[in-house]
Amino acid sequence: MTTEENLPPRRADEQEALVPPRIVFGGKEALKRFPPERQDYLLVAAAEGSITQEELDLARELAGERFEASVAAYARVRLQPDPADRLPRKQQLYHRRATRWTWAAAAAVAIALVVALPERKQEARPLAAAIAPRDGQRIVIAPTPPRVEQVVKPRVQPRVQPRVERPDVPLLPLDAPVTATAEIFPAGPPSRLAYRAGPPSRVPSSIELIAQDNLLLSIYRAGRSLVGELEQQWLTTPATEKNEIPL
Amino acid sequence: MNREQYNRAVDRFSDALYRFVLGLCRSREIAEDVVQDSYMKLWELLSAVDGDKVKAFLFTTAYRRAIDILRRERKFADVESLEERGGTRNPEHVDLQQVLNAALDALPTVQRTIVLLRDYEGYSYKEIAEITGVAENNVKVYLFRARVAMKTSIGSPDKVV
Repeated sequence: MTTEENLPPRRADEQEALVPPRIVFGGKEALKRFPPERQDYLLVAAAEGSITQEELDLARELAGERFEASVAAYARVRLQPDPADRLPRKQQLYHRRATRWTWAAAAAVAIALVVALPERKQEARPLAAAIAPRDGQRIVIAPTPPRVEQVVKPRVQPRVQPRVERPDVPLLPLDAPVTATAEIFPAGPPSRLAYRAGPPSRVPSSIELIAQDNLLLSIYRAGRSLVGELEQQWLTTPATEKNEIPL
Repeated sequence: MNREQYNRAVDRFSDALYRFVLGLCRSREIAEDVVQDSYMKLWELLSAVDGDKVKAFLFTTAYRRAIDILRRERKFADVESLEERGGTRNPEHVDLQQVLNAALDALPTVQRTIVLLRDYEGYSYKEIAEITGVAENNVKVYLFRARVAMKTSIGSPDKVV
């Protein structure tokens, strides 16, 4: 049995492995098998101009004489954009800088808004207009006076009159009951005045107002007017007057 | 990117973008809306978009928007098909571009997109891959399939002018 220890010692220039001989088999390409679409793929790549030289040689070999015609056929299968198809309304896409005329127009619109807004406020109808009767007359409620800040008045100290003894008037006994009649009035707006005015020049009825304007807007205006009236009524009435019982 | 570059992008790319989306959707109204949306998006992201990549940005945005619309239409099926939009065609095709457009409409959306980007804009495989989000090798495969299908649709070359 031969082992490494029985072999003679190896020289320094001696190689450890055999060098394979450089022999190339010439019929290698002929043995290759390609799927059928491989040829078309290479022809398409040739028509697209994205093919390597190695692939080009293979394509020529696979296609043979039909190579040039096949590449030309694939080259024809290319879409051409229609120049008549252009984006309509392209001007809307541009973002131009604001010119002097643009600023002038914007300023005019701003001024018009400032002028128009107070007019719109005055157009707000009072509640009486919304509930005007149809007999040609209307109830006009005077505009609410400006609210006056309540001033705390200093409490007036009652002046005590000195008791005058009158012998002609008999004195009532202190433990006797005293009867008095009191009429209670509901607290009302002291600053309100309702009166009948003459026939108005032309006041549209509620139906007309609703028909003219937006229905929701009309309801909103009527509600806002009603709430405003109630607020004014209750806020202008001092709290002490509400529970006061005039004797 | 600034306002001048944006307006220049409108000049340079809006028609091409419109033609691309029109080829994809076959509807002028949709194509116009998609182009406007794309430029609106560009205006919103003006400072974030590089001036050199504005064309790719526009085509990517338009492609995604158009795909969304096509998917929605396919889901609800409330519009006519691409073939119906393209109009009735004479079975005796005489014009090559008409035949190719008919063949294009029959392709899947991704193949149609790749053909349009390749033929109309001359984009490379890599650029098409970036716009559509498809791998570059798949772009080659899809384009190959589309070309074969379009070549088959031509049939005999002598039928086509």
